Amino acid sequence: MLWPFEKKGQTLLNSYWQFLRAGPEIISASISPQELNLSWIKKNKKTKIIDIKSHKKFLFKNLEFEKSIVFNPTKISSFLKNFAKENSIKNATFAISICGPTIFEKILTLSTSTPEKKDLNLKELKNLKWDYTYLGPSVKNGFEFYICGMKREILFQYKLLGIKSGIKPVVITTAKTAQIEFYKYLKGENFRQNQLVIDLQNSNYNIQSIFTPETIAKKIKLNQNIEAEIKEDYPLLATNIGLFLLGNKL
Amino acid sequence: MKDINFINNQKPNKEILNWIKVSLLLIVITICTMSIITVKQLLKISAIKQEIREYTYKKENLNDALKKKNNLKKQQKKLKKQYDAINKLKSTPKKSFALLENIYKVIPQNTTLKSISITKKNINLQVSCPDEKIANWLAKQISDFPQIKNLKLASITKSNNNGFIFDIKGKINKL
Repeated sequence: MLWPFEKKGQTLLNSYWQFLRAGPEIISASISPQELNLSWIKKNKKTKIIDIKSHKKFLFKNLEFEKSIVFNPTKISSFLKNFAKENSIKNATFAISICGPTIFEKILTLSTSTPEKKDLNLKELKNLKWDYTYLGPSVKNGFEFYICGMKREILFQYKLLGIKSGIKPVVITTAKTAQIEFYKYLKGENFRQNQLVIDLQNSNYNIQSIFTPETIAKKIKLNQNIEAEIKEDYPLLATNIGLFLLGNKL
Repeated sequence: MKDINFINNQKPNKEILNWIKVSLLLIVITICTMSIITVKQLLKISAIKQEIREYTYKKENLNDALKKKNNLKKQQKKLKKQYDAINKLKSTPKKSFALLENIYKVIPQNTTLKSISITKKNINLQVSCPDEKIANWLAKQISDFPQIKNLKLASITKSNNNGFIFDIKGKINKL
């Protein structure tokens, strides 16, 4: 029998020390009313290349996640648990991005680049847990901000989901936030906020369309086993990598 | 750019590290506090010990001084006794002189006191007088003194000048 942090062929102290240094494995989960995409991603510290260790898609056929509300937490948590078990991921945490009707998202142009929360006081944000981020200077006039929020009870559902599956959530965000993070990663040192705004406008604020399979493939390393499975999900992979990057920042 | 995260959870390893840090900090604080308290107490103990040492040294000196004082007191008492006795002796003349004076007063005109010896217990008189009656009278007179008892004529000897020499012997009652 192995202790919680113990790995085969290693002493408990060594395993524990490695866990403290490297941290837990992050399972990226992008959830939408139609499907749940789970990815196990690792980053090479030297080459900084992202390695997709495993990827799996689960379709919701029985309204498990209808209107972005968790109707069947047992099933969703079993997806998470099984994915961790299949890939023998120990001490995992998960970063989740949600998209659907319960999520409020808006791009707002303001006259100031440093607004206070009361300047962003929208009617829709009432009773929501919300936050905003500065995107960059607008092409026209002003400064663009991305605002998103979600109902507190929905947020609580995900926390409960974490408790039920025994996998702690470290990031709960929107898909767009994760995609922006991946965009930053793609651009690397060349990342400029005004370019981001231009790209967003060109893609009609659908940032997912910016990422082509070729651009993504350049920055990641794929297992041959999962390459075929992933082909259709390249845009979703961007979200999962963004989530992984967000989780890694913590 | 700020990252949007609706929860502010930490990764488990960071939580553990923070827990370890806080625990270590608390341990260090506890050790520091304990050591400060202990050092304070040790300093207090050493100060008390030093005080005790001083007091014991003083006490030893005090005991010596007390012994000396007692000895001196005893010596003083002894000396005082001796001094008093000397003074008493000095102030009170010998009682034998008084007795002699009294005896001398009693002796009539035709009687001569030839010798007198007074010891602690006995008294011997040698008196020259014309006859026995006077000698008896004198013996009786002298024996009336409270210091003398059992005074008797011990012997009669004829003297050269028509008289007699009487030896009167008695005992000293108390001088």
